[in-house]
Amino acid sequence: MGLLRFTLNLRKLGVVKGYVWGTIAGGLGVLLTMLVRSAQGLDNSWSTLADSPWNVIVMFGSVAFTLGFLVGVGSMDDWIKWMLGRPGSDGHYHPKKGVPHWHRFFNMDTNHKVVGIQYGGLGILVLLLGGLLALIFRTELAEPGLQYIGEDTYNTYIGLHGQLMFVAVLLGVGAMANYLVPLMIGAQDMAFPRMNGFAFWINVPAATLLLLAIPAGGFDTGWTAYPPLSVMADLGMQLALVAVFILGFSSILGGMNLIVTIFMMRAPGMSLFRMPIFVWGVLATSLLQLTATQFIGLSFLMVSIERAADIPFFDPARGGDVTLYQHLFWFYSHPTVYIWILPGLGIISEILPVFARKPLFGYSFIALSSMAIAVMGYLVWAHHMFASAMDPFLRVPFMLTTLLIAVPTGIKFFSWLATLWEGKIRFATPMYFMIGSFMLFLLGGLTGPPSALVVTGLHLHDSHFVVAHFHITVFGGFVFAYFGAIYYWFPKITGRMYSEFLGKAHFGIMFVGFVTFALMLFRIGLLGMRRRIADYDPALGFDIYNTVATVAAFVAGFSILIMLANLAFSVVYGRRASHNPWRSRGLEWQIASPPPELNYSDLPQIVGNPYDYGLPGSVYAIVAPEDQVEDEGPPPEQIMPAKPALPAPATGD
Amino acid sequence: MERYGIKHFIALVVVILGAVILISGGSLIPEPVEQVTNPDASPLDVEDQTGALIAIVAAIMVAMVIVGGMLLTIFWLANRQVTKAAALEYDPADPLDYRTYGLAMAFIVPAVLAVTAMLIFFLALDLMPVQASEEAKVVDRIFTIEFVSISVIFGLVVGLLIHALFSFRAEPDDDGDGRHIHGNIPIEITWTIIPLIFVLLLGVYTAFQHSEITEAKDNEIGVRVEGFQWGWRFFYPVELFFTPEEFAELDQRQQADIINRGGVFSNELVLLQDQTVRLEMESVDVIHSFWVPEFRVKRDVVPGVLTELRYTPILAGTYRVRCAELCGLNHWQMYANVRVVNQAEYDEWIERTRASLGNPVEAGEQLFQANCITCHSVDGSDNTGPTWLNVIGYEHVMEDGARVFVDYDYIERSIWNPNAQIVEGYDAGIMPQNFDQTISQIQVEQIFAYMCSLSDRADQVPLCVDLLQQAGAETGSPGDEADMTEPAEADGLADDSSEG
Repeated sequence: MGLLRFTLNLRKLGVVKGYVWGTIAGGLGVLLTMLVRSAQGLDNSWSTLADSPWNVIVMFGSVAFTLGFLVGVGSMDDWIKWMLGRPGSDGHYHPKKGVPHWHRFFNMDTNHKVVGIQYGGLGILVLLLGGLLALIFRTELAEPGLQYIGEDTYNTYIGLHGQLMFVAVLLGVGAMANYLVPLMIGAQDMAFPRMNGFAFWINVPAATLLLLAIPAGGFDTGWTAYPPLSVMADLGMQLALVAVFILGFSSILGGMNLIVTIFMMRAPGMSLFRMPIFVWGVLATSLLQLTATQFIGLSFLMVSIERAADIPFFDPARGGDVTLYQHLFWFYSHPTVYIWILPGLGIISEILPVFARKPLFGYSFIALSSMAIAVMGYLVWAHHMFASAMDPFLRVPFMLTTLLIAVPTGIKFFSWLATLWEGKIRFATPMYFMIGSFMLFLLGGLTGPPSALVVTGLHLHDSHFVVAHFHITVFGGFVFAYFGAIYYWFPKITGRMYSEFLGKAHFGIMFVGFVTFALMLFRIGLLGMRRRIADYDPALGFDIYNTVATVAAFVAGFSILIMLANLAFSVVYGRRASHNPWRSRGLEWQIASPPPELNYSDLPQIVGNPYDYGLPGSVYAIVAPEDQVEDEGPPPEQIMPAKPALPAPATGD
Repeated sequence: MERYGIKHFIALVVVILGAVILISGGSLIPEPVEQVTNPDASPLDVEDQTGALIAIVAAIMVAMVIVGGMLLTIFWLANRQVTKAAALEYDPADPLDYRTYGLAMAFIVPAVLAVTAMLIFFLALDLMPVQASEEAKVVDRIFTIEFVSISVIFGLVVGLLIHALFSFRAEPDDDGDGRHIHGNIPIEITWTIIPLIFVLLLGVYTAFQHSEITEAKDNEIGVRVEGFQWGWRFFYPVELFFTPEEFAELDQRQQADIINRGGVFSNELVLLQDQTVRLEMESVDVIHSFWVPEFRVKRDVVPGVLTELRYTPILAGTYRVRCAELCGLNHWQMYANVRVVNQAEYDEWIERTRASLGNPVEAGEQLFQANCITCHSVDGSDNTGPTWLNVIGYEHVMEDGARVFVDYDYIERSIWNPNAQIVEGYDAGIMPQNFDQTISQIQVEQIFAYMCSLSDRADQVPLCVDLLQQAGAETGSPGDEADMTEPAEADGLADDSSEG
């Protein structure tokens, strides 16, 4: 009976309603398009080839599916009511009788903490799917010869791996930003809570469409979808292009929401230079998301229109230009790597002082270096095109702008080192991840100049060296920082402690596995192994490195399972954590864990600097008395020896 | 001053310096030249290498002393200034916790050495493919600078990181905080400006080197390169092969073909040692990228745009051009042979190419090597497309059940309009649809002649007999045109791997 009730209750879930509505709307979209085409005497027969009539049908069907889903999930309820002149909801969560609490995470919700967890959950799911694809084609590469999957499957998987990971990282950034920013700046929620929920739910139909690319024939272009190849690719390409186009809306709306929140909703006393450093990272990222995403949307839209309506934007035989696409594409896709890593670098800057018990060295330089990276990120896109048909004289200016990015990045490294110097460093799982992040991002950053200096870049371009470079950069700048952040804020999010042993095991296994993997890829890249090849000539001597890289990739993948097991187990059975197990000065740690529905019942007062560890009597924030927490008894987790209570407020800093 | 452990800091930097110089030395060990695969390799100038080696090691040592001194000063200043500025209670009797000084050293030495060993193993030993062009020399020179810089910076920063983690770790029962140091503006400006100068110098130096490898050279030869899914075609200037009078004597269709395609077709890129070649590249379908790893530099081959790439090969041998831009299904095996030869072999190749223009079987085989070998075998084995062994003169079953007798008309249709009829068991839409623009009628005939030579029923098709006779007349041995040595030779070429 219990199972039956459970199953029946599923129909009330927003996500289920969304899929039902989406499927109906998508079906109607497909039928309507077919009808219009038939009326014109056009062919509607099913085919997955590049010139299939379904290129048009799928395009309209996908848009209808997405709109149907967004209405069905309830993300537009209030807006629709307002348009009809009716009062909307009050925007707050009201528990309903008979509806379990976990339903909340599968419904449209406006609370930023719920949205953050939704982002995080979907992000991990997509990350697992993308990682699974990677392990499949990595296995294929382990030895010469095509053993497990054919060339077409291989080509589809590498492209889909890229796009899924792209989505997963953006979701991860969204998770951190949504959950943490309002808590950190002392706000009750985001500036536009309804838009926040809406922006999240866009990701679900879009990710679904992306996955549908596999049954629709896949696409053999890699994630970059360069025309003319993408115009000649199978129907799966059209779905992927439309999916990424739709995803762009989520980025733009999310970025806008965060910018407004950060500028308008900070607690009294929190000047820009008293914000937690992570918020600076999110601000820089959000500015990029708001202003750059349009370009990938535009470039993908143009390719999908060329496929669907035969408008020859990129067909040189009919006056198009293939290099134009690359400029448009990289004008977004280079800044996007800063969208991924700036919050990660913010996390490192945020967590290091807590575990070093020392102020962040050079706060304003670190904060401004994030903004500098964001601005300079716009001026370097053509370094992805050194080997392209672009005029060679343009290579030199783009090389110089690229090298200049090393300067603000270097500032961060030196400041982190100086932060640790003369601190009193404690080691817990988040700190391990920060150290791993530091080392990997350093190696990733240092392998940038060989690719950026145009002479050597012409050898490395499109080789596995580049693959290793950006994987190590994203692992250092995002993945390790993100996982570290999950462990660090886990007690805040759940009120429970994770297993330190499993956390450290996760770190050790993933670090060793990933470093080995990356070094092997550097090696074969220099020796001349190209990117995106399904197989290679055994005479080149790559095979041993490829075998080791595959084993290492599986080791790193296995460590993710440890993390998931640790987190899943700890949510239910973990020991209760005190409200501030790390003795952080951060605003979010001064209130109960998990935070109340509206975070702060009254506005907190910011009276000091966020990282003044070691300054006796200094205080960062004073929260309202009713928000203050006294933990009963000694904190159960003794990783960080706890001080008895908050120090008394002092004047000035 | 004792308080900041200045002696200990010096010792630390010295240890790291030593390790880093070790790395740098390791990365500069000259690699043995691969004589085995390149029998004609010109021996490298050993004296030259040693001189450069000494110069570079000396430069690194000077650089390291400067960088080390700089870091030392920075950290020393940071601490001194902060002490003055922070107006903290300063108690000399409470020295910072350097109890782990000896232990830290013991920890750092292996840590740094481990990093060193890692970098030597993965970055320094046998780092690159063989150095076969002038451009490769320039590229490798900059690679050396880069890898030395990477090793130095990585060693220093990670050494300092590990040291900091170890020396400044908290006692288990210590719940105190570290020193309250906010930052130090002059120092922060210093570590902003010094990397700025370093990267700008590196960038400007590379810019000069870049013009060296891209600028026009004396005595260049221009070769037209055509990339297509999935192979390469090369077209050499007519003057290399024929005087105007000789050209006028050629078959009319041959002449038209050569003029239309902008040169004499070759299935491999044959280069004269020490002569710069200017590749004028264009794609007929999607974007490809022309890369010979032994020559280092690469450039995309783009539809609708003519791109240029210059190589000056210096090491004789057989290499392979590999497409470096994903171009669809068979991207990974989009190869063509690149042979760097001396003058005598070059002349011989010119002579052979001239001769093959009159021999349809041989010309057809070359066309096969360039256009068809990725998907079609000649030894009966299965591949993306049907094999060519014993095709002509046989009946084949099509996907729609029709039975077709394979003769010239069928072959022409299959090349120019491949989706018209698909052999049972194969997929439509795989074979490029644009061979009607890139393969002329006379070339179809040559390919057909080559297929005839692979079939034991060639005598069933009259045109085959004519073509094989023509080929036989050219080589002067009419008896062996249809024997099985052809596929074996083709195989030998296909498997001929380039690398050392």
